[in-house]
Amino acid sequence: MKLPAMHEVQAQMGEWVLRSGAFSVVPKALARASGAVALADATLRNQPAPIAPTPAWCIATIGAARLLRYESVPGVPPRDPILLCPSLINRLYILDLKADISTVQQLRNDGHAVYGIDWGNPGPAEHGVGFEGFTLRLRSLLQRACEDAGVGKMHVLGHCLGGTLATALAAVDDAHMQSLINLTVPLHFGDDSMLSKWIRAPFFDAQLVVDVVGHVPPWLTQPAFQVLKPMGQASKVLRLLQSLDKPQFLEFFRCLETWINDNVSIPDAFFVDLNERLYRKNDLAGGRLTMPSIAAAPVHFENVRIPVMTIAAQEDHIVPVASAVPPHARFPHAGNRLEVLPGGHIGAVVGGLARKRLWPALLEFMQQHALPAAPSQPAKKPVRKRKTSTVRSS
Amino acid sequence: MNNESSKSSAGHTQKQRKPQDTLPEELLEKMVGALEGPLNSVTERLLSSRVVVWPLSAAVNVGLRGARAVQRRMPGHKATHTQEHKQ
Repeated sequence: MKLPAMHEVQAQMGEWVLRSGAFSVVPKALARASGAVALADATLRNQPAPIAPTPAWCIATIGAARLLRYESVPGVPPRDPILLCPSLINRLYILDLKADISTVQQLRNDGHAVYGIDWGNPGPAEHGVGFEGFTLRLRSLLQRACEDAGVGKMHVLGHCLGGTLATALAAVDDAHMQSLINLTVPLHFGDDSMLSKWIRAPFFDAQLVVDVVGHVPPWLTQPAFQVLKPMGQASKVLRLLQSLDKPQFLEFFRCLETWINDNVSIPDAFFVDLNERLYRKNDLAGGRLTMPSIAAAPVHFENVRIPVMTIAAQEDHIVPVASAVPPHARFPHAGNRLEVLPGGHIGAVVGGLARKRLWPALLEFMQQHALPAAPSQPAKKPVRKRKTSTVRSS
Repeated sequence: MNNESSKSSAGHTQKQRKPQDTLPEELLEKMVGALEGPLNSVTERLLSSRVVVWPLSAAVNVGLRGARAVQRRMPGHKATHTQEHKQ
């Protein structure tokens, strides 16, 4: 039997010692402790996270909803304008989360005039406003944005339920829409996800919820969304622990947590429509959803005649691929595009892959389906000189 | 083409290999993996099973009915918009 040479034994032992972390555990622990202190300090001091960095002006309001126009980048040749339509229950600034993680900034840097809808926290003006009512509001705000930009049509990017509204509008009235970009948008509600199963539970009554609480507040919806990924909170804590020594990650974490905890209430009638007509009866995908104040015929995906880009996230636990992707095949335009990105519901928008895949694909699609002629006149001066560095408050 | 690229990358493995994680880091990563993977899917399956969903929805329903009844008996109670519509 041949004994290993001394230098081999030494090398092996050295590797074991390094692997055990004997030399790196303490410095890493100190760096993480320092990160934890910095995070705690910022939290205890209520230091605001650097969210929504792009300056924006409110140019119109309907009830709690505000139409914002983002400041354009000087010196960049102008391209088609775009309207961002986020979910009703989340804030718009997920698309403008922080300086280097911002869909808005990408669009602006490419020369697009960017408009966004902040649906705001529903109040008395939103009582009884259902799916159809919000689709009408979207139509009015889109029209207003087109007037402001001096164009007849503009691209619309719908995120989550905002995209559901935009798709419904595109099916019945696409007069002001150049193209539609659906970013993790639920369209087929008969999927097998946990959220669908819960909503379709036999004794769950959305009307009863609304009768008791009115507009459904975040303290009711937020825990429900957290339970959809049962181990999500625990794994989040461990991921944070892993990255406490990275200041950039901590800043991103604070911004994202601010957004996650900045939910708004779900308007009462919209909540009932969402549960009863969309989730339980699957009326939208089934072609049974009617919006008589906009069009006599029910909403059919086959009637969406503008180009549609569908972006879904593989590990999305809120809008699974089974909800976002199958309806895409029913949109008739030949220039449609489908992208299924790795990541979750939020990760697809603000994760590293957003930079690598989402934004380039988005800009390419908009270029492919650009308006026939670029707007000749520059964006108008703000109507209301109310500059909002953040779009959180409503 | 693919073979070529894999060969060339194999040739540089020694140079390009990332330093291996220490054991505590690897353990932490495995814990996260387990939480986000199998543990999450098992809990998800459990929480979306009828055994949980049916009684839970029944309990929520009873609780909400109780809350509504109490609300209606409270002085100065105003029906919500949707209640007004029903009436």
